Amino acid sequence: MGIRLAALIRKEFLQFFRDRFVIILVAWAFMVDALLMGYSLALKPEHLALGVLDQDRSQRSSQLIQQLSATRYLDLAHWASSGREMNMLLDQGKVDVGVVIPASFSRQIDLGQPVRVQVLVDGTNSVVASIGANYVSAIILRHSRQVLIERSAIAPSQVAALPAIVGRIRVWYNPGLDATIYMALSGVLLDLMFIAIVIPAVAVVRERVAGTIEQLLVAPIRPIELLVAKMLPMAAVTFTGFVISLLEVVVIFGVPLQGSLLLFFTASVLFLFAAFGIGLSISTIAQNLQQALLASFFLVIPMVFLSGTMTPVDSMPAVMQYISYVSPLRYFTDIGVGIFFKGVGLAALWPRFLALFGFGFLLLTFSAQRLGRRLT
Amino acid sequence: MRRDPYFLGLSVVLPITMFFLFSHAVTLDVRDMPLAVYDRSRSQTARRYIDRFVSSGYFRLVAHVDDVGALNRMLGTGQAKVAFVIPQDFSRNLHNNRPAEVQILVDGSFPTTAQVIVGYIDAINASASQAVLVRYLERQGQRSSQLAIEPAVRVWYDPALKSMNYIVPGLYGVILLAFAPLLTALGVVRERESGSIHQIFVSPVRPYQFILGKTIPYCALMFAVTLVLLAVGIYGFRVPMRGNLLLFVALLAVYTVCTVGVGLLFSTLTRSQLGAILLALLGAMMPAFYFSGFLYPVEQLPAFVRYNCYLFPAYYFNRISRDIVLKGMGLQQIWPDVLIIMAYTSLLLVGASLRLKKKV
Repeated sequence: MGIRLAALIRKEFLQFFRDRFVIILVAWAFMVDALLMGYSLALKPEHLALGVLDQDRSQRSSQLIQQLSATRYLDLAHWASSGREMNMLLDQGKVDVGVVIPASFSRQIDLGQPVRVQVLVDGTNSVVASIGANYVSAIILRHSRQVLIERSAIAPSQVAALPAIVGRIRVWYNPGLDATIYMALSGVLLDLMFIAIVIPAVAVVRERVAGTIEQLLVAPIRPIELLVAKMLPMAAVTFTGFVISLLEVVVIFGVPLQGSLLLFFTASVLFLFAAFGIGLSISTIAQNLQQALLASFFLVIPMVFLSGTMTPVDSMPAVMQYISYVSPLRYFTDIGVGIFFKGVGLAALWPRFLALFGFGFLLLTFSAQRLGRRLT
Repeated sequence: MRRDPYFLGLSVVLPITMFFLFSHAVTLDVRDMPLAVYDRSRSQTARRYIDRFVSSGYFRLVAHVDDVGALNRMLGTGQAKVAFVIPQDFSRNLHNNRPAEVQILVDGSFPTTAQVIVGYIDAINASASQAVLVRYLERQGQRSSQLAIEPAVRVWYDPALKSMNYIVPGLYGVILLAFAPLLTALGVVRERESGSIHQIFVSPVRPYQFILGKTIPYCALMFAVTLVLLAVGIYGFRVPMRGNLLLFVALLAVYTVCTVGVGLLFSTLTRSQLGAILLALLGAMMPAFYFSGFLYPVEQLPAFVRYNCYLFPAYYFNRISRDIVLKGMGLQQIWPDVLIIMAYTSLLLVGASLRLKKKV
């Protein structure tokens, strides 16, 4: 039996590497796609275009403007000469945030009256808009504090001792708030799923369409042997590609590894089985190649978007959050983020491991049974 | 085409399902972020301070805990995204007119959301700090006992800052580029595989006539699907339509032809269904998601990504779409993008005809 199985595995390996389609897909997914994701879906909200309409043109207003443009978050891009021009700049997207300083600005400050500075934000993208609005608000409020202190004639030596609330904000897990490393890791995880679903789906259906599966049927092999022989080359290639792409994002983007690599690979194997289960299930249901591929896309795309790989699950409406529980990628993403960024271990992640194991077990049993029934 | 109900069904169901899913699942809204507090001062002042954050609507108080370990655990499991550690001397310092410190921990594991959270915290904290100073000056009998400068934020185009209003106008362009080339290329290649295309080659049909004949049914189908999406977007999801609906529908039609043209060109480059799927996947579906400004404005992305975006029609159409839908712009402002889409479409159709002619 050992020799028989070995021969079968050899045949499957040969067959696997003859397939150009599969090779291109695997190479592209693991070599290119994760990098693309790291670059193209990582927002870096810096250098937002600031537009200023200074109706006061005083020393006070230029002080404020100077403070607004002093950080790397805001670039003074345009001076508007009228409200209409400011509107136009916002319309054309040339300005992300517009600040309108009224003509009475310095006079009101000198009189001790509160003065309003208008902050106009292009709200088309909610993320960029809220970040921009908050940058500007915080800078104006700090400036306001300075003005208050200045006006109240408090001795400079006492300023540091004035009542204030100093918020020491510390960002955990990704202190640089670098979205690239998150997206790149996400890319590696979802590419593993994509490949591990598409390849078994395609391979089995093709064999069935070509009729070669009937030849195997008359050969003295048990269905389970066939399944093992079929899955082994796929698993080997997929996992190798996965490890390469993981190395790639660690080296190129500097994705940190806070937790245990061994634990992560354990999760990856469990996830691989779950994804193979999905792919094989598709292959037992689809009639032809085209159906198998379209069904794979149909499953993969929602799973990607529902799993917190591109946008956080917590932000989704409750219904979508519940739906996301049926996606193995959701658990795998939690595990990946947990181990790589947070450095947590099995104590925090075991329910996700259990879920992955359950998925893999159920799906593989289901597809093995269906495959077995077709064979016998 | 009509003879294959599976194919036809898929071409309708696939885009519509994706539209529903994306418009709801792809959201970056920061609202009700779970917040945990370790208040060592146990004071009214601290409660009022935390209240400022909760009443802003961006944060939701989920737990008061009694040690730092619990905060760490909550951040680790994701039960809390933000944690405040208020030191014992917080209210005492403020009462004695001294600065007080607060430690604020933010879960940065999803960096984009964390960035927005940090921004809100910073702004709310700055305003709390200012209020403290104002009260102090008041007690000192200063004449200027009010906020000196107040930022009055006005958000344009999408005042509620719902990310759905950004995502949905972008979805029309993304979904068309993701599925129209795939379905078109597959359909045409299948026809070729079955040999029926040779009948057409021997018939006195000219290549451009053939192209038209091929394009029209796919365009009609995809356009019909897109109109359904548009209706759902406007009436179902209440995404605004500030510009001219008719203009938008007309440009949507042009863009539909463009994406079908991409599929047609792909179909002339490959002979197998697998090749068609591979081309459509790598050449259209993936770029639709990566290089269209689907999640974030292209201007905020690295230069390398920006240059890639310029290569794909979804980028131009998404600009058009957001300009019309959210900003209410007209043809006189958006004509450069319209021109690019039209030129792109013509080039694709001419290219496909030429390739086909060669084959004949």
